Amino acid sequence: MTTEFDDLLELSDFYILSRKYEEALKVLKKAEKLEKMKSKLYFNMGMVYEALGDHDNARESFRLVLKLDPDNIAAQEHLDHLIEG
Amino acid sequence: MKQFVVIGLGRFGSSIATALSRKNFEVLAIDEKESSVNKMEGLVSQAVVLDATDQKALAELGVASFDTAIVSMGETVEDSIMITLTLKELGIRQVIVKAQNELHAKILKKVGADRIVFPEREMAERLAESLASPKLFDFIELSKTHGIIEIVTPKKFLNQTLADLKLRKRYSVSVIAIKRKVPYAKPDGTTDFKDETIIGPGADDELIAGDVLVVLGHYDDLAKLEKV
Repeated sequence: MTTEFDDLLELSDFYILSRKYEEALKVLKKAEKLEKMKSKLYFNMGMVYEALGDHDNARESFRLVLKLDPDNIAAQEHLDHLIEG
Repeated sequence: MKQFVVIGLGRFGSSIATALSRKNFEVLAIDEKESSVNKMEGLVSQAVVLDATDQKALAELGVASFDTAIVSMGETVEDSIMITLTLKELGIRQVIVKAQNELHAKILKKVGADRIVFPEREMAERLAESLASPKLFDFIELSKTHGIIEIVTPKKFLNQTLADLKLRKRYSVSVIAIKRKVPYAKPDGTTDFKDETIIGPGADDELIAGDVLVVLGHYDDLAKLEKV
């Protein structure tokens, strides 16, 4: 059974795939109120901030992902890219 | 492949030597302090303990065959002047020197330095620039009047073509590339971006959310564009 949190996360994926980043951010912030400390939540947030050009928040989000899931290669790649860029 | 010799392995020298080496350039790193040279081991092609004010020793090391020399001597102003002179006499095409102050820079120019850098000042100016305009990611200076910037596409430009926006007419700038993030679903169900760069975009190219514009123009015009 999926939880409301999972549904919101899935919805954020949908918004990201359709490039509706501001809608995705709203949904992710709602999800964060339900459950914190989930790496996928912060990964999606990082992507949305990156796409919106908010690099400070993007870096912060990817750092949180790596704190929760140190082997997350994708998050490390995003972070490296954001630091170099 | 370009070859670099870096003389003086303080904070600036060692950082630049490591960064160039990471970009796969051949780097020869020189300092008279053994401890500074030891720190570079494995990070650059070759690291040597040598007094770079010794012209003969520099020549014997084969420094003359390098394309570019970077001199970063910390506090010792006289040494960096001497070394710059020697390097130019040895025939190195490009000598870049870190200067301590304006007077130092002036003398370095007189003895043949091709480029003078004030790393702390340049970094401070760059930081100030990026703080002053949060949308600015990167900046390339082409001349005293023109440059290239990267900006996140302003909201009101979204979903319009370059022809609709008439940026050349309205702002006197040219979009030379669009850096686009293409979202996709990975097999494990997560979402990620692929980077795509459209070089020399056409009039029909439409700007979409997440696009970063690489724009060429006069600084005054670029500043106007950033305020959109």
